[in-house]
Amino acid sequence: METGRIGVFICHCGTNIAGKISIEKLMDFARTLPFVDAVRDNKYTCSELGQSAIQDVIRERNLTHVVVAACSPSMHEKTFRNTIEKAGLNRYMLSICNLREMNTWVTEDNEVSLFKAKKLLAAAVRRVVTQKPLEEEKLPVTSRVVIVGAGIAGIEASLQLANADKEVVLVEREPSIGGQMARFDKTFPTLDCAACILTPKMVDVGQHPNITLMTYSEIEEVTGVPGKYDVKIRKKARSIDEVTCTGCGICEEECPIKKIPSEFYVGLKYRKAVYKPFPQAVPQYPVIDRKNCTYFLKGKCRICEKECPAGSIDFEQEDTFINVEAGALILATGFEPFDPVNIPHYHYGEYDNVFRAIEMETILNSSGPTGGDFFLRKDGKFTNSKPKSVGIIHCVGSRDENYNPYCSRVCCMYSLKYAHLIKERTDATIYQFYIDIRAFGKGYEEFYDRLQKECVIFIRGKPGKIIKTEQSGQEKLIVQVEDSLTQTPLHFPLDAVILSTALVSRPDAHEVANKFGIGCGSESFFRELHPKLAPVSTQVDGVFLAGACQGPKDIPDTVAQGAAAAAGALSLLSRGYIVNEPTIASIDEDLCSNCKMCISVCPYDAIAEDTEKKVAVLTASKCKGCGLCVSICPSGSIEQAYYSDDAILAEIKGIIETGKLKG
Amino acid sequence: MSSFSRYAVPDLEFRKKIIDMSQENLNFCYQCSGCTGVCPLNMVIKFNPREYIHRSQIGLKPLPMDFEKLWQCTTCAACEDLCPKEVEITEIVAALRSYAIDTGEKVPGSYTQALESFYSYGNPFNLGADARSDWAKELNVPIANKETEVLFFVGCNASYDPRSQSIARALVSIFNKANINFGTMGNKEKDCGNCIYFMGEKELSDHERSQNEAVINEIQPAVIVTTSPHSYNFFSKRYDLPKGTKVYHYVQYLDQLIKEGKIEFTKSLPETNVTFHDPCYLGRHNDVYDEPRRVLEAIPGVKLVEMTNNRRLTNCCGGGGGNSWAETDINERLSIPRVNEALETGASVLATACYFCLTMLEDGVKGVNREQDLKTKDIAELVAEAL
Repeated sequence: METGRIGVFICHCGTNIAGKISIEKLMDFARTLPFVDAVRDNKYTCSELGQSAIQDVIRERNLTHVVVAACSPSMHEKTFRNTIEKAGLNRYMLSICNLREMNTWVTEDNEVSLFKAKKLLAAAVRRVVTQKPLEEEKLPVTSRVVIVGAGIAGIEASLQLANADKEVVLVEREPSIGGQMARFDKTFPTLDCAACILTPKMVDVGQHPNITLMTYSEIEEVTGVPGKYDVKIRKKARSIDEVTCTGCGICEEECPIKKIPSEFYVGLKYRKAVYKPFPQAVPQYPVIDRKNCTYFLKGKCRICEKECPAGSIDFEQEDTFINVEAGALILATGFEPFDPVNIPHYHYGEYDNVFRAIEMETILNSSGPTGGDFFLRKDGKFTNSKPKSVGIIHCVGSRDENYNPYCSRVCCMYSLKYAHLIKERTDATIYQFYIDIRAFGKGYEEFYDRLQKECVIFIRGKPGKIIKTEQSGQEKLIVQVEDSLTQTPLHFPLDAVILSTALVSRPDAHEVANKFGIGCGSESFFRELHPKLAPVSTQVDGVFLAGACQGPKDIPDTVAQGAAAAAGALSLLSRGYIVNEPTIASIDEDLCSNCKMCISVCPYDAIAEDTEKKVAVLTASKCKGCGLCVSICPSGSIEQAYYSDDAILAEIKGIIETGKLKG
Repeated sequence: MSSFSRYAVPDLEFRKKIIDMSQENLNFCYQCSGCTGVCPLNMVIKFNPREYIHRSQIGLKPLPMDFEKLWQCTTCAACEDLCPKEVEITEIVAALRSYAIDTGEKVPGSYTQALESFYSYGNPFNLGADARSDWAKELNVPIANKETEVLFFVGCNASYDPRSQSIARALVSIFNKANINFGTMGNKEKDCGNCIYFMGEKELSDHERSQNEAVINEIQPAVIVTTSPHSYNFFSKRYDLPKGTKVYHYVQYLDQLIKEGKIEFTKSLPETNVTFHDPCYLGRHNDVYDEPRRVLEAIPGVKLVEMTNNRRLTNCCGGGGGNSWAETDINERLSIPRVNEALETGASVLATACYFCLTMLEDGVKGVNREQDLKTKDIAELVAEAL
């Protein structure tokens, strides 16, 4: 039979709770509940004063259990567990009654709300006496971090950790590190040369003794527990012996397959079947694209093998799998540039001189298809003539419920950057078709100001369509738009139009998220633990986020988040242990019938069959206390600490015995 | 292109002309619309400076009716004072007016008359250039020469307009009492160029200015004192003057004379509440706010009471940018709300320091039939009365 001396602490939460229900009436009700010894209220229970009031009452009244009736447990359960622990109680002798999110915020009628509060409080009081003291377990943390994605976010995180003398394994899907930033010619708002600031960091990563770089590799599987993850990495066959290859480039020169659209240059330039994606690639050794290599297609050629002075071509190479144990994981998988091909109004992919943003980055890059000059296209090929007038359409695929509802945050600024660079290189008249100019970052408004002074013309309006006409054999694009500031419908006959396209999540974001046990938000960007206060943490201990995989970001924010994720991982590694909550399942072997249903539902691979004893056994360190096995077990042999049947039944009892609302 | 004729195609030539004529001011504007929000003209008509700027930015000419309305801008610079991007909006107005004149847009009749008179006679009154110094005949005002210390630049209205001449006479009497070695340019004085500049006649303005400069260079005065804040504005910003020559508006000069003890008030005015209207070209265009107030408060018997909208926030008399010579419908006169503000203070004298303001405000007082309650005076007149 339960017994105890319960303290009930009711929080006003300013007016969040007290503004809806009578705290006094609820306190009177609380005093009628079994085993309740003390009832107190507080304007803000989570404040230092509120917490010390709880501790005082625990000591004065010699309480055994505590109920805090306040906000959601996800908000302050940890806070109050710490509070009661400091006053000498076991931290699991607490029950949170959620009066705010589950009641006062969502209930319209005050009387209904008070009634609901009584039921919730009765449930919590009934439940708390069933709770038993639990002890937390400390698990060791492996001093190594696996970082996925080697764009500027992953690079920054790697260098921060490596410089703190931690071991880093940096995994990149592409043959080279560098990410999207490697495509850029200049960066806003300072117009720094992107390569000049990125390449040294890429080289540092390649040479750092604490960083193991694994390019052309992908994460196959993540298992293990926080602090001790096992990461299985697939190292795709590069067909190059990385030990002997000197990166001399002869194989690439000799390869006869010339017309493969380059991924790095978004199809605007060709590459060979054996290739290095771009001149500053790290690592410097090439890769053989087996889908396009004549040898792999037809079984002959082998010219590269013949010409390679180091004998590094290895057609027999196979994908290899490497297992890495890591204490923390950082996801820095970046974004995908939005493809505007499905927006009918702008005829991208149909009209020669409608470009999308990532193409523009490539075109303006000095290693790009036109050496950094902006030439017009005709029949899909670059000509020698430069545009005399260029329109830049903002918010293409952003702030648009048809495509992506969010603001991509960087388009205003890169549009301004294009205007500057194009003006510098072609002396064209530049039009910006914008909805709002969002120049929020440091130095951004000043950049906008500068571009205005550079005579860029700003039209406030979203173009309705692009109409193709011809003027003396040259394609002319008429941008049809209302200038909303004068309410004038306008036609701008232009030579080229650039679509400032959105940043979207990677197409395989969900798949990756599943591998790591984290979630995705509505737009398939990885979900952080808290949008403001934990922007680089996730719901999984030891898994951090950095850069645009969490949401569209500019380079400064991406670098900052890379460093922040490194700091998160570092604090885990430096402390050396992870606290495992004891609210996990346990199996009563005597009752288990070895039906294996629990094994099939466990998402964490925490249950296995003991083939000798013919029972299910649970690895405590892997269990996250999700409760799936408990609910599916037909013989009732699995119980979860803190969420025992007794506790749940007691809660239900509390709710039922409070009766009905009069009338 | 005819199939898309409903849509306008922007005119980049127009844009370029306005950019060139307004010293690229256009490009700084980010269309916050603060200019329209603060423009005093909106008390009496619908007037949208933002749209003029934006149309020029993107190469859309103002509609004909807006071109006409543009002349009602008094270039009072309330917009410039607020503008977060430091756009010199009055320069854009001047540029658009130039464009209107050059391209044969309709210029309202009374502005045309004034401009034609400037062309023919160098003043807006259709009066001969040889009559410019007639006002000074009985006063024995010396013609400035190399020995003259202070060149008194009288200005068109103070030379020709009977009401404004009183300011010039008051200043002469003050200078005499303070024993100032001064002189005027006599009939050689030309229009200062400020108003016609902002009316868009920039070449004429240049012409008048350079004629004045030539005379001034012969005189080599130590100091130039102007009657009008408009002349002061042009002299201090655009004139090429002999090295060391200082330019003052007369309130600044009087302020200095009072400080130096060169002006002694011998009489007291009857105890009078005086409110002061800041002329735009003195205040917002040149940040001269304290001097006129100090001079007023130095006059025995004067008690200064402020209108709610004073200094940078001053409302406009309606006379700038050529509007003092134009006919304005009584419902569209800025002087009326301004006079009402002055009446609210309970002052019996509305003082100012600009002959345009004086003319406009005096008309405004008549317009509301309150001549009995509120006298309009120029500061120079009040000072002269107390000497």
